[in-house]
Amino acid sequence: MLDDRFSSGSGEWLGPNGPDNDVVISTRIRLARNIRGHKMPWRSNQCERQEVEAKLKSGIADSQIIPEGAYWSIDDLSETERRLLVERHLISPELAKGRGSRGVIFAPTENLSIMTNEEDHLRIQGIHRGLQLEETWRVTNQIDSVLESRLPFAVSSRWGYLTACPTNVGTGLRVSVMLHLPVLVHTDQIKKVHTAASRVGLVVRGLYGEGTKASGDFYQISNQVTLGRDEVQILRDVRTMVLKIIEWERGLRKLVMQQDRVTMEDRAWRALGTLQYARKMNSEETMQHLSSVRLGINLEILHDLGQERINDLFLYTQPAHLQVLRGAPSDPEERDISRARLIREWLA
Amino acid sequence: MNLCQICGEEEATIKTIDIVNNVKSERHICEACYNKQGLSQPFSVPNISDFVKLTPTSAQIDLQGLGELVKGLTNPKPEPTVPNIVCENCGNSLEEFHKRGVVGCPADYDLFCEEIEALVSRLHGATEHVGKVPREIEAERARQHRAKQLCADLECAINEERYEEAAGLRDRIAALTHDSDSPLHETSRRDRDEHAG
Repeated sequence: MLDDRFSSGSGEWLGPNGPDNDVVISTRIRLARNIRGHKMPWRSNQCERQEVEAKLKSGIADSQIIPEGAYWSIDDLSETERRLLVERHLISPELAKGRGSRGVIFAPTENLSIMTNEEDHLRIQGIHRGLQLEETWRVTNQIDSVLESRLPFAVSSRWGYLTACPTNVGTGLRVSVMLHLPVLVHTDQIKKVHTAASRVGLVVRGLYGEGTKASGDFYQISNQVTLGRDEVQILRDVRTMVLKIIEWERGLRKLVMQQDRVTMEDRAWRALGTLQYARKMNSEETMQHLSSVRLGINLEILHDLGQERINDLFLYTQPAHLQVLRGAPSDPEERDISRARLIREWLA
Repeated sequence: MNLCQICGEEEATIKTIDIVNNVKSERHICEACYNKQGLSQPFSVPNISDFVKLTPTSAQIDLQGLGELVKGLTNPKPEPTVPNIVCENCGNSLEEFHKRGVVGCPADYDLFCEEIEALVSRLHGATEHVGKVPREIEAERARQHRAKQLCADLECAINEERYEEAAGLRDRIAALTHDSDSPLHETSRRDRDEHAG
């Protein structure tokens, strides 16, 4: 069972003052690696996965890369705890669904996590607040190099790092920047983001990555190409696109504030009012209102609210967090009542 | 995308294998050329309408039986016969790779090399890694790069009839390739075996 640290506070990456944090929530970098001479997790039986997991655990422990981190086996976690780790972006939905000889180790700051026996044997992930591509890459790359000196990674001079899915082969690198784009959505120009991203080999994903939908005006921009471009080029591609999107979003925010300020004010105050007084609220509605309040803070319409508080609410109103904080309201209506109560208390 | 080796314009979707005098040759061609060239008929078999025309009284022919007989020989779109390769290390088959789109172990990258090359070329627009690699691979890459350079110099020396210099270059290339025990433009077999485990 996970300790009770999750009942208060978010990971450092959700904290305030990240670079460009009016638009960028976080920067995440993931590296996919496999161990030479072993079958991929999907092809392995329990015994083989166990053998790989033991190798990985000892490699991670010996290298002292996350000295304060504990290893959590997925089998030892309840469904709510697994969901909670997904909500905190510490594990992927895919790892949460799996069973037997797979797990995660993460730093107490939650800036770093390493998953074992997910789609690949190892998934190393670094995550930082705001737009911090270089710093996130530096940390993740360092961890990778340390592990590489202890674990025999499967790699070829032609294909690079060999991954279970050829979509990740080569660098095994996925760079994802999470963006808050309420005005691009409001002005119906989000398609422009999708089109521009796809033209340069990038993809727009939902809140929890591949296969998840956008919620509360949050989008992740990620690279698709992992072969034939090196890490520096991939980071540069993502940076160029993200800076362009930030410029669009900021430009439109300025424009709507000049042309239709009252609509923006109404949206922010109405959302805050609903959050402060509603008695029942589902997850999707909460995300929408929190998104409007976050925008209101960034447009300096709402002054007395800290962005940190709102960021925490994004996390703590998610189903698993709500269950951990408020017992286990399994009934959806009960959960909506519980969520509304939590928001009222936090905003009081 | 692999282009048809006959017309050079359409995507090659069919692989033909001819064995003549125990010599095997492969061709990758498009469906149109496959049909146009009559490659579906390895030896001349009249189609059913020709057969009917040639016969004095069509009523005497059991058309249904004939149809069955020639179907196998004149089928205009036979399924190309691709052997279902199975990996000795992980048991993953080519068929399963096509179905799931994931490899069963690192060795599959060599075993299903052609299919993976076609797939990654579509996915990434490239078929060679250019980023970070572990130190031992980095040394191997540097050696390959050096050998490539020497090959270019060798070609130049031969064209300019500097044969003495060319001989020296040839020896240096041989020494480099001997050291690495690998072809210049491919992943080394030794690498592959090591990584396959």
